[in-house]
Amino acid sequence: MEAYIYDSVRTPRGIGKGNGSLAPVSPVQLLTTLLTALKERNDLDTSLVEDLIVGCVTQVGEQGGNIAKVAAQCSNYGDHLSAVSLNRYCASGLEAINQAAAMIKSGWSELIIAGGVESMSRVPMGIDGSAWLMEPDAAFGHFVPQGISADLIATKYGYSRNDVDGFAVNSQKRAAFAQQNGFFDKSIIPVTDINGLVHLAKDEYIRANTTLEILSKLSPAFEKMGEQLFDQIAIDRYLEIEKINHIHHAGNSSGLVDGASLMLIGSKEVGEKLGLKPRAIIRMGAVLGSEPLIMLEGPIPATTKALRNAKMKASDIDVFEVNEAFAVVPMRVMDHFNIDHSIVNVNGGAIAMGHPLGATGCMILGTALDELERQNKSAALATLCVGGGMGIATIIERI
Amino acid sequence: MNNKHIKYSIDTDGIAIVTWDVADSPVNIMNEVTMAEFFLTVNLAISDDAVKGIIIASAKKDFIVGGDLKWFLNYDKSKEECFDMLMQTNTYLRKMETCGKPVVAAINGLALGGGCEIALACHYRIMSSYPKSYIGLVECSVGLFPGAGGTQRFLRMLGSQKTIEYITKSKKLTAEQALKDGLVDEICSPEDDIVMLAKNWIITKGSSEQPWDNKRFKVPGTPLGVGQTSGVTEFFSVSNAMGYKSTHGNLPHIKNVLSAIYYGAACHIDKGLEIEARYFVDTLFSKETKNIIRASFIFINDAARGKSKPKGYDRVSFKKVGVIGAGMMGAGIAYVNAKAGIDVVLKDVSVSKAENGKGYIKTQEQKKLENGYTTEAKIEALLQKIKASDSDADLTSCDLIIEAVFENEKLKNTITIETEKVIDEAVIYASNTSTIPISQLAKASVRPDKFIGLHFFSPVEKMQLVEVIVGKETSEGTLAAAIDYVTAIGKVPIIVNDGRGFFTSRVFGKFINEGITMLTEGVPPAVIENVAKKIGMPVGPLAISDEINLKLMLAIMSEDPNLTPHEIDLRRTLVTIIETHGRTGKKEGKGFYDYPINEKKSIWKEWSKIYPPQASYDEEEVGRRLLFAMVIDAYKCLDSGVLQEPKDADVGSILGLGFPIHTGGVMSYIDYVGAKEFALYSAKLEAKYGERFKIPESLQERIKSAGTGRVFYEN
Repeated sequence: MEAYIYDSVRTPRGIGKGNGSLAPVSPVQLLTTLLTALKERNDLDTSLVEDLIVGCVTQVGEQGGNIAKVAAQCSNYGDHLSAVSLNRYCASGLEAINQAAAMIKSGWSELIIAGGVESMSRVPMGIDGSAWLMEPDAAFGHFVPQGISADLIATKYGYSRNDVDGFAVNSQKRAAFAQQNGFFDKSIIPVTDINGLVHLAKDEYIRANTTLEILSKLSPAFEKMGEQLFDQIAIDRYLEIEKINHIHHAGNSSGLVDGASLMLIGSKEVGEKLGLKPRAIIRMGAVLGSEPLIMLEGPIPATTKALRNAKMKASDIDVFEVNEAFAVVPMRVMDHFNIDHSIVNVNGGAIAMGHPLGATGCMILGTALDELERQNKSAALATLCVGGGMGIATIIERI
Repeated sequence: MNNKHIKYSIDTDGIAIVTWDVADSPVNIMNEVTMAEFFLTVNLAISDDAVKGIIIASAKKDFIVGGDLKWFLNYDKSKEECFDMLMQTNTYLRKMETCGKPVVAAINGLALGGGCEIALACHYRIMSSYPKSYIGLVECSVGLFPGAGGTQRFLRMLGSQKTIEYITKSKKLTAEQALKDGLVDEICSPEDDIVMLAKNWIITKGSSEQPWDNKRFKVPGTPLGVGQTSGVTEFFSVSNAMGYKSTHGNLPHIKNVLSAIYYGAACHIDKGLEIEARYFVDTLFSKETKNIIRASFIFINDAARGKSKPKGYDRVSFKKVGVIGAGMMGAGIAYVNAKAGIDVVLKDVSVSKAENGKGYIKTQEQKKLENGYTTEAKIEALLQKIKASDSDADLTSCDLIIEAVFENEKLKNTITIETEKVIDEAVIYASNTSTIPISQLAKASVRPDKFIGLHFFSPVEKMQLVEVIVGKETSEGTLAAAIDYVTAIGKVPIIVNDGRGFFTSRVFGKFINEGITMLTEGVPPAVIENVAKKIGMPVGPLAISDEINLKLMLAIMSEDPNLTPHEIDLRRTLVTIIETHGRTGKKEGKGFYDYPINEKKSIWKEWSKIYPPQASYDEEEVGRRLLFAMVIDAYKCLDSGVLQEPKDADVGSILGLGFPIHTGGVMSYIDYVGAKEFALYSAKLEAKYGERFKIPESLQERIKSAGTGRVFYEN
């Protein structure tokens, strides 16, 4: 049995602050917007949808409890629809896809909607606490913030400030170009208010006019906290590093934004029953843990694992999406696998458009699918680095 | 009642007064006996229906100054018994809190450690504001943490942030500060009758409920499910990082106290107390904590009190000291003398040079002034005590001379001869040399029995240690007086018999040598430096070499006729580094590190070309080589009589070399590693790296005869 993607939708990404365009919209509303869109544009018999799997990282406040079930209830899909929220940190959205695909491939389910949501303006990152940061057994001598890990990777492999800033400028240009040329239009569902008036119809975080010079003026975001607190922990583990070169800042790291994304995933049979044409097959998914202090190196072994299990090579992949949590993460993946930048994050990434934690994984897989179709190519791989030291990867192929 | 330490009386208003007055002790100290008496007495008051309220007071100048650390060090019971003992104390204090009668602490002076904890378990605290009156939980400073409810009651009174700050920093608060924080409820002046004030409160207000026994109580700033509010998460995260950064995770008591506070924050007080006890037991039974208590509380304290002074000599006091040479060391020595109230003649070749030395002192004091630690008047008075001079005549009235000129034997000899012409026969003449044997310098003296070495460390005002160097002809009386002097200026003396490099310089040299040797073998320099710091040394061997300067190190080596083959190799290496690569040290801006102007130093990039890095390195081995090299040489000092006792090596290494205190010092380190393991690992290092790691026969013997026990101290 195989799992197919029948549709893929996302909201635009709003700036994740109180004055962002999506700040008045709750994460439940973001999800119901997409659920309604999936129903309408596919003329979907919702009674066949069995489960809703939603990745969400900061599961507290209005994202607390089981936000997926609340969205299911508000969606008018019917009381039969069960729902689960999951948290694999930044991989949550892609984890939801992988779990849905596994359920369908195993025959346990026929039709599932999976994806993710995060309103970083309404439910700030980190407000849920975590033993990871606080509890001495877990944190003492172990925990460093992700920005320190990103700077550690840059130091370890010798990426300079100029290297990462250059990557960031490129991400902005690609995103702006893609937006201007409508490359995202296929999937973006505008978010509207109670009257049907638009809150936001396109990604609003992009800064098309960013230059190397503008970025060079930004101060490193993690230098002070590193020197005062966390660098020592990293150096005591990575003893060959004399001093951490702090090069990441708001301009070459992912932005805080609000957004949601969902995919309609089902078996071949259910597609035929619904009269839907599959857009892609979910070939393989992989997840694994990696050294937690350097934390963000997971995409490399996760990609290796997914390719190996799919019996594919990196060169078989036409389009890569590597989440731009920090510029150094996709740069490391490109250098490790010797992949040309021209097929990685073709339409920009989270540096330009933002990283709505729980939603991003599904979102970048959708972006990859759209790009495969636009270029009329075959295979894509999406991968993300994950908090606490994990990596995830998913391979899709067009039919 | 047959009490020895705790007095008990009931007044006509039915108020019981429980007075601490520990027999045969100037202070009230808590141990098994005094605690048992105290709780029996409190129980008596609780069960007596005629008693309406209870006052805990002290008949001494201070309230209660804390627990008996010797008792902790020598604690020989099981973990279960220790836990039960702590829980019994908790039960008694909880009974006092919940007995329904108001209990007041009349804090008339210091209330530290356990003394503070007893006060916290009272319903009301009145504290006298006499200037030396402090309250605080200071156990972390000796490797422990509060074990009688202090962490949990602080937490419930102050919230987690202040609790962690105060406890990990062993902060002592004045009465005013404690009132502001709500740790005490009322302050009074030293003239007030504090017991009367306590009675008044019982009669007029007298509440008998602790805030945490109220059903609606919440730990301030730390609701159930610790960290559910923004800020608390970050705070705990920062506390963990700070605790690690300052200790490299080497001191278990720091992580344990953070744990007791973290886990206890979500519990009812009774469960919180239990958590505290669990982590306290683990801490008390850790070898690191025992090492810290032994080294700091026993050995360093004893040395600071002059316990090593030869018996049978009256205490000598010093009113005026002549310091010759107003450079960094001379000025520093003058500074600490003046601070100890001793008049100083600071002599150099010109008055302006001597004034420069005073200028250094003034600069240091100005920094303190900016931070509010002193006043203009105090600075003026301090500087008044120091007379800048260029004349030997000014030295005639001094009762001690300390020579602190440049390390040049001829110059030192000239000064000895000139100075002895003007000073009294009874005056002790000390040289602050760090390298030249004292017996050799004493040859220039007409009174070699009065000639001694006082090796201060730089910066003098910060470094506590003074090596007292005994020459061949130095008399015991001179030594005794020198010990009196060192303790009078608040420094810690260790007695060292004359020998090249004395003790500290010699042993520290081994650390440096090993660091440079590893660099030449291809261990990456950052690894050498980082491992050194990770195992608890304050600075890496390469950075400190740059501070000392490679040219000076080479000169010292070249003067040593007894270099080992390894040291001869190393001397050649130094010549190459200096002459071929032009690397000499910080002064020239080019050593193992580069020193760019206005930037932080960084390791010179070329080392990886000169000494190509090995494919991998063994972190444990790098660390052990650095420490074992020092430990084995320190033992040789002991073996050859340079030092008299192992504790001198421990004190000298901790205060003089920054040897990690959690190991207990350079001799205790052998037992810290485990004597058998130490011998095995030394043999491995010897096979791999040579003779310098061979441990002397006598140590082999001691290790063998120790069996599974300790080699050096019982506990």
